[in-house]
Amino acid sequence: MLYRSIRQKIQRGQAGSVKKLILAFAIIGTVLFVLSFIGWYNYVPVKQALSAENAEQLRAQLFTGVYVDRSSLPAALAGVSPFGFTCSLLMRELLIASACFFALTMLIAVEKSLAVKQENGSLWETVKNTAIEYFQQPRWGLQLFSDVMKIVLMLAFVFPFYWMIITAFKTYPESLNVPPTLWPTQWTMEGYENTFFSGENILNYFKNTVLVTAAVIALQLLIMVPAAYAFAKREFPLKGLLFGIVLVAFMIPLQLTYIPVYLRMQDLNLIYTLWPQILPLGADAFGIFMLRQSFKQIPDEIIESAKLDSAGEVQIMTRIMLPMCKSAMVTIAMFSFIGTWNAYFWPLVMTRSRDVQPLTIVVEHLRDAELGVRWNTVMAANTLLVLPILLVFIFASKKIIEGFAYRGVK
Amino acid sequence: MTNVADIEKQALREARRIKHRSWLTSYLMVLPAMAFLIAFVLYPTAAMLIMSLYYGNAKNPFKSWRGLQNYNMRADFWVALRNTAAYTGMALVLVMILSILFAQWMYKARKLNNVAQTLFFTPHLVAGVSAGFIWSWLMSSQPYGLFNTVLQPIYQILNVPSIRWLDSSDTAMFSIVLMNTWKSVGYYCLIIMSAMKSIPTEIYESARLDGSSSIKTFFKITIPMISPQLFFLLITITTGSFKVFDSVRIMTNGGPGDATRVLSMYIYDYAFQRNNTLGYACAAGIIMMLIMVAVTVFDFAFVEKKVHYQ
Repeated sequence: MLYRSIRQKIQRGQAGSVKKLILAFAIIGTVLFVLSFIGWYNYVPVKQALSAENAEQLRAQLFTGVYVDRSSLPAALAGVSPFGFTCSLLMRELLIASACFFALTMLIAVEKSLAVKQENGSLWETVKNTAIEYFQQPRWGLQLFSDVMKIVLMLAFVFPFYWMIITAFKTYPESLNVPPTLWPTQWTMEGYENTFFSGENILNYFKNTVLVTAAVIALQLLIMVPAAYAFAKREFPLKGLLFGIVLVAFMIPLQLTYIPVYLRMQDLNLIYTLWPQILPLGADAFGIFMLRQSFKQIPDEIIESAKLDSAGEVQIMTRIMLPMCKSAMVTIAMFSFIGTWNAYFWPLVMTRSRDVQPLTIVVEHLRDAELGVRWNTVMAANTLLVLPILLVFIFASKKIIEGFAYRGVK
Repeated sequence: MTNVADIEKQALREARRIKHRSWLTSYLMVLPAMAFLIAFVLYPTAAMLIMSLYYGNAKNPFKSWRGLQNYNMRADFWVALRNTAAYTGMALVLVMILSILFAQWMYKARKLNNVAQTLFFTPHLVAGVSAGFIWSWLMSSQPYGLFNTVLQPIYQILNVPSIRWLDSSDTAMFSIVLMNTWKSVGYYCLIIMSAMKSIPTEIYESARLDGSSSIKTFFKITIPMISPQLFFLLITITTGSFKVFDSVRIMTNGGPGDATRVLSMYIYDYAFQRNNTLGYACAAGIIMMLIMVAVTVFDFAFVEKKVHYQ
């Protein structure tokens, strides 16, 4: 039913709303996936498996889902298992639901691209015409060579990611195979199991990363938007001097400021909290600079006419300025998302306990934890670190590339 | 009439009051940002400057006065500086040339080029840590290392021992540069590409009519027209390379020996990892900042004159 109505929409040419729908489905799918994962982890037998005698067997069952006791589903719905433990037996259902959403999303995406193609004749026609055009070019041999090289180079650029994902699914002996296998002969979740059961509470690291990232984005927008607005659109004494401070701050690297900041945080007894990772990133000189630039592009007449309509400062900000600078703000938020999620240096110097460290550092712990480097485990953890960024990039690649290009131009 | 003067005065006062209130609002708007910048950027810089004159540790940074003695740099500082300079030089050459070549190669609006652009850009979004892990796995000098497996036939033909990538002090730095080139070339390529796209086609047309060869067109038209972006690249790559830390720490942690110990790693080591050497770290940090500022000022003073702005 849902599928049919979407198809009708595409045929009527309302591609914009379909795009939004795809995005919504993807987000719902991701959220469900994460929820199901957390639910599964909190399921008590999983935790027992950590210490159980027959741990190997238990883990294998947990990953296939066989272990989940179907008969207690009604009890699980109430949140309590027959044994009195709180658990989430819904994990498997949630996983299936999210997989369905993903599948539907993919289906619609394919359908959509086909619909676009069909406007210019049938699929076969399009391919044929493109091919004919291609070989009618003046120097098609050279072009073909260049394009083949380009594709080879593209594959080479993506290959490290492929290697990461594939290594994570290999068994430890296979990962050390000579010569290396390009495709796992035996698929295993061993790497992922080790990341979750090696004694590092990886969900806690994950939580830290998410919390810090969200807090930094919120704090930055809250602090930088008013400042950028005042610098762009208002006159006040010492404005030049204050903006000079911003420009000077832009030049000073983090490698310089962390020592005193660390000492101060230590004095304030904050070093065992998440604050040292959040507060110092609150105002980013570059972000202020960029936001100011986009506020400046709004014509003064709009503000004047709003003032004539007796709009207050707050109203001008929220009703006029913010909507017009939405794109710049999204870009800023995106930069701080990527920057904070990937941050390594700052958390490394600002944390002394594992409770507050982010995901980037746990990968390092996993590498250093055992005698030899267990590359399949490291790559599994690495995949978990990279995947959210890649997912965001897949769904907003155009927007992200535009943002980065803009940063270079200014 | 005193009455009129009174009213005038009152109006003036009223206007001033409004102005002052508007100033107050402005200050309230910039205050948080300023407070954060001062607390977390300017104050620490000043504190670094003062701490660099003392002998101390994390518990007590001001143990005893050392004056400028901390700036009498030790031998390993010069090693770190030389390594950083080597890294910066290699990164500049490699990234600049490759990004210009790639941009020239694929700036035309075609579907394949768009896909290529997206794929080349992807590594830039990934954490330096992740990229470091993946590449140190690829570059492993063990028999199971992928790069050496692929290159094995070439080694045999040339009859040379296999490259030891990160495990040899000759190649370790270059290996890290290679990784960071993979990571960042897509981004710089993107910037150059958007500059190339904004060059008016008429210029190319007239060059073609004048019978100029494509290589000549590239050097006489494209390069000058994108020089503002090249200038941006020069500054970003230089200052970025001076700060390099994540990938070096993950891939080699300064080794083998001291072959890849860069400046930021020197500062990190001396700040909290050793006893009573906070002063050295601060002094090195101040010098690092001075070098970065000097490079930027130098670029603006000398290179920018040659840059063509439209």
